[in-house]
Formats: sequence, structure tokens, C-alpha cells
Amino acid sequence: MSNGATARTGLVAATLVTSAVALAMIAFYVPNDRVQGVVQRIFYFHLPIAWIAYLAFFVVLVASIAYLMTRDAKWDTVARASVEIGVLFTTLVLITGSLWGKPIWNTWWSWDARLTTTLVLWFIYVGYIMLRSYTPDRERGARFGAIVGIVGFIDIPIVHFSVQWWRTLHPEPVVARSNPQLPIEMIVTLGISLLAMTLVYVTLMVYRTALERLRDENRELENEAAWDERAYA
Amino acid sequence: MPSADPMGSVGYLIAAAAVTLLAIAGYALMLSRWINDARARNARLRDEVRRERKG
Repeated sequence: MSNGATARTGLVAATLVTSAVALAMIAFYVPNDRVQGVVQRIFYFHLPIAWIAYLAFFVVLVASIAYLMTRDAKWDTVARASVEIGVLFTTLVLITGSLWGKPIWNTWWSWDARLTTTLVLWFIYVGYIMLRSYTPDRERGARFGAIVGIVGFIDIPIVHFSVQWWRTLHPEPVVARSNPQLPIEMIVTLGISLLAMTLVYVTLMVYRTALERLRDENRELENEAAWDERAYA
Repeated sequence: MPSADPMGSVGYLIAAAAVTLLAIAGYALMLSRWINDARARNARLRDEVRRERKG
């Protein structure tokens, strides 16, 4: 087995083990919230998923800037892979949030500032994927995508600070503040869940970028085959 | 504030866990399938180019 394959296997194993530990802690270790009861445990999925959505779109921002500066296709590959994973996680943020909202707010959805800006975020990056699909020219698509990747990121601080800028139903931060109001078991469980979700993101990125490279090779080989066909005809 | 019976809401927690796990596992499986397909296509195209050049 090559070094790369060994590293990938190690990464997958670490991701699976950490995810299993996080799930066990959510199910058996962390105490119930006094007010919300068992449903508060959705927080240990919801918050790490939201963190990964932010991280994925931040990676898109960095890769898009790097692409526009260098025109190196590898940055476009990273941006394209990260957008897809970011959209998956933003979808999960909306679903898990809704599943928490129904028993706590007694509604699946509310046009609250946090929820609405998150939905806008989802539309922006779904738009990115559609734009890439409908732009067959790789270089042009990469350039357009990079602009959407940079401009779209403006929504992230709006999503994050929406609970402070506007009166919303969504709870204010309980961890990212100077004096976190959570018991230690909750902070440890959240930390392990964040680590597990970050490893999931890294693993998916490794395989998604590998897929993009293989597809690039496919395109080059197709061009070579077409060229040979004309040359030897 | 809780709407009613917060302790009876385990179904929502199970649904959130199931949706999260199924979505991530499903995406990972799809990636693995796409990678295998792309590898097979690469091998076929390389073979085609080699044969074309020999012939």
C-alpha cells in the first residue's frame, strides 16, 4: 500500500472512531437539558454541522481568491469540492434545526433572521453548483465560480451575527462567549462532536478532490483519444 | 421555551441523528462509486489511446 493510501485509510479510521465516540457520548454520557429535555441533544449534531458549513465556505473563499490570483486549476478543484460538501452540510443544518424547532417552537419553520439568512446561504451555493454545471468551458466556469465563491461568503457573517443584529427566535451563542454557560460534560461532548465532524469534512474533501482530479484526467484522455482519432484517420 | 412534554421528544433526536448519518454515509458511498467509475473510465481511455497509437 502506498503512503497516500495508508494515510487515507488512517484518516477514514480516525473519522469513524471519533464519530462513534461522539455518538456514544450524545446517547449515553451527556446529561439532559433541564428545560428542553432530550431534544436539546440535537444541538450536538446541529452546531458541528453549522461549523462545517462555515468552514467549507471559508475554504471556497480562500481557494477562489487563490484561483483568481494564480489561475491554477488545483484551487478551482478545492473550491468546487468544498462547495458541494458545504451545500450538503447547510441542508443538514436546515433539517436538524427544523427537527429541533418543531418540539421547542412548535413549528417546523419560521421566517426568522437566522433561518432566512441560512436559507439564502443555501441558495447562493446551490446557484454556484448550477452555474458550474451549465458552464462547460472549464476556465470560464472556474472564473465565474470564483466570483460567486467570494461574493457568496458575505452571507456568512450575516448568518452568524443575525441573532445579535435582529430580534430572533434562534438562541444566542451559548459556547462562543467569554463565559460559556454549559456544564463540563456538555462542553466535552460538543468538543468531540466538533472534532468528529471536522474529520468527516477533511475525509470527504480528500475523496472529493481525488474525484475531481480523476475527472480532469478523463477529459485530457478524451481529448487525446479524439486527437489521435483525427491524426490516424 | 418548551411547547409540551420535552422528555417525549426522543423521536426528533433520532430523526436528526438518522438524517445526518444517512446523508453523510450516502454522500460518501456516492463519492466512492463515482471514483470507481472514473478510474474504470480512465483505464479504458488509456487503453484506447495506447491501441490507437499502436494500430
